[in-house]
Amino acid sequence: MMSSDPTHLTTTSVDPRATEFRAVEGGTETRSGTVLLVEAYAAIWLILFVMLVLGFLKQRRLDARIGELEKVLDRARGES
Amino acid sequence: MLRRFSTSPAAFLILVALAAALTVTTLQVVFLRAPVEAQMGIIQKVFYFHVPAAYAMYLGAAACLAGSVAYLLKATDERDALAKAGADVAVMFGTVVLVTGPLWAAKAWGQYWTWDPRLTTTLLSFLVYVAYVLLRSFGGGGEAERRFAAALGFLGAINLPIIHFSVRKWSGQHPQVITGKGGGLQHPDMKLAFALGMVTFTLLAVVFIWSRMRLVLAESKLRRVEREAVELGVGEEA
Repeated sequence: MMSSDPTHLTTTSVDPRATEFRAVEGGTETRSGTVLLVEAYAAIWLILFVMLVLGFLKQRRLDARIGELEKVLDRARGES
Repeated sequence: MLRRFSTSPAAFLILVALAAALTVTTLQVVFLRAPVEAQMGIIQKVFYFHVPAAYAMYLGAAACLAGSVAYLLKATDERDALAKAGADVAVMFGTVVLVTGPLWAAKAWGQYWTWDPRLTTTLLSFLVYVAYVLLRSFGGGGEAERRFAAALGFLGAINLPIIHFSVRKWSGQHPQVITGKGGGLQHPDMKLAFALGMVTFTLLAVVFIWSRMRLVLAESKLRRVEREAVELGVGEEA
């Protein structure tokens, strides 16, 4: 229960806790810097991570294919 | 020498471990130690990765230039791989720059994009390297395509000094904190965060150029082995 007396808010009783949330009106801030910062960092690490994983998978695929072909070539050379 | 350098797994793993450790350290310093900037607030912390990413883009472009010029002088797989790896890295870090910059601008300028000289020249340079990567991806791996790409890699580098000096030469909105004219980074922890960011992104650029080089060299090797298999008549079997 909130008192209408503003001085009552400075006491340490359980009463001064907020009972409502109000949006800032007429302020200049329209975008949250924190959200933009998180988006920026998420984008950085996502781009780097995707490149790393794609590169790793492609390298593994290429190495496997080269290994397969070299085995076949070795066999063919041995037969001829 | 280039081949030996690019295929040494132990050195590569050490570099990856070092880059990963530095990345964690930099994140810790940026978020937990560097103070919030007085005017811009928390969004200024994008700066500690945005500028190093731009520098890493330059490193990729420089590798592409070096590989391209070397390839035009004497065509080898290693030189071509360096040029291609450099272009890939320039595109990757260019994407980071062009994503983080507008997110910062949304807060600082109230809009994501303006046709500021530095933004425009950066976009142009990025598009040149995108063109290089597309050419190499869809143009085939023939000698003519490689030479044409090398010429593009050389011409693409011409725009780099223009990006760098555009802030000084033409008026624009882009900040110039890291120059002699600006106030610079006022707090020692800001300087530390920025220095760590630069070192981290230098290492990341080297790691990515290295890994992309290994990939391009593996592709070249695969083409050679496939040709050999066809010549020996075992193409079908493989």
